[in-house]
Amino acid sequence: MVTLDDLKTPKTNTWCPGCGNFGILMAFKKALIELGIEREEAVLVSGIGCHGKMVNYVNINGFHGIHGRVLPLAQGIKLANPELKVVGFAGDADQYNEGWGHFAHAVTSPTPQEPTLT
Amino acid sequence: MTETSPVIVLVQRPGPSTGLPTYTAQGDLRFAIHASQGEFPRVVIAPGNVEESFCMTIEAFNLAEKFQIPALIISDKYLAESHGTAEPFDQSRIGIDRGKLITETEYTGEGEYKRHKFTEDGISPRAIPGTKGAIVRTNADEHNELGYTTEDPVLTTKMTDKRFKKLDALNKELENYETVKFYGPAKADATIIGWGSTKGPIREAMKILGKEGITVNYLQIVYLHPFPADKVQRILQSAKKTIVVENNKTSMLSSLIRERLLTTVDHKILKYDGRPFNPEALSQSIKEVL
Repeated sequence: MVTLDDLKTPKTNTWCPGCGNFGILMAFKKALIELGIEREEAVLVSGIGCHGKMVNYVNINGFHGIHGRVLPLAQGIKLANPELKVVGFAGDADQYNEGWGHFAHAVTSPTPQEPTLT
Repeated sequence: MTETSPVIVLVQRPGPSTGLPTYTAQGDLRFAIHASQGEFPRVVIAPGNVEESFCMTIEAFNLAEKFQIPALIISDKYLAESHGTAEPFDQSRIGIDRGKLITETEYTGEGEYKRHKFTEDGISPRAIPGTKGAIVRTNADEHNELGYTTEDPVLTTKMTDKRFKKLDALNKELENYETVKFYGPAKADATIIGWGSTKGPIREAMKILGKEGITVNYLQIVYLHPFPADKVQRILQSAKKTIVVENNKTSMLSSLIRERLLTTVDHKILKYDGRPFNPEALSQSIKEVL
């Protein structure tokens, strides 16, 4: 079973004190532990913006991609290996501005998952 | 930056913008070689006919995966959408080389798996996400060997050097590839230089000229980047007259030869009306410049 310690990385977190990302980071780690997902089974995909550094703070497979491309990256990884648990993190401008076209395609494409907004 | 291995097919048509849909052109050569944010090694391959399109696509995949760099295949409307017959492809020469790919289900290497590990040739072994015991982390930001973001100046320099080390390894590998092709007699009245789909019309024009007692030979530059400078230079040195034939306005190949070899070609035959060269008209143009 994966523990909080296993998910730690050597990187110092550089988000500002009080940033909402801390809550998202901890919730994600706890979800991995609760669901019993092994580190090698999970892939974290992030885009551009402060949130993108998420890849540095969770010790699982990760792809810190380019602006707006979280969804196509995540879909590609899922298509290549549907066994993997792929979770994408995107910023607001990342997804709803630069990545809007990809968002529309992801919703309508026949890949095994649909994006869930949180 | 992530050292991914895409194969990109660029099928050219006339521009700029929507241009002349959908006719043919060879105006994207510089775009294929240079378009980038920052610097990284890549390979640009220009097949000249149906068989080469097949074989060189396999070469592109092998090179992309072996060196973990983008491989671009530069084609055009004329080549990509023409119908033609070809001899059966010699499939015995085809091999798939995925390079340093870890295919075992469990990583048993020394120490922690590092996606961007420093190695002698700059190529880091690739593990597939899902491999037991290996965390595969990559990053579009500059990163360390483990794929964690870095802003460190020393590491940035070292990582850039690592990526460019692969260029040396690629150049060495390409010595064994047919990066240029040569047709016709060693000694001729002129040497035609071209790339891509002009191959068919040029070879037909050579036949027409041959019947009239004019001998020309033909240098097809297949790998445009990295530029096969030594091989091209050797052939151009013994050329009596050089003629570049291209489907563009600015003769990008001539400028590339000038840039790489500090040599100017004698003549340029350029066509940029959206149509491919016609062998009869081309042979006439060659006669005019001779």
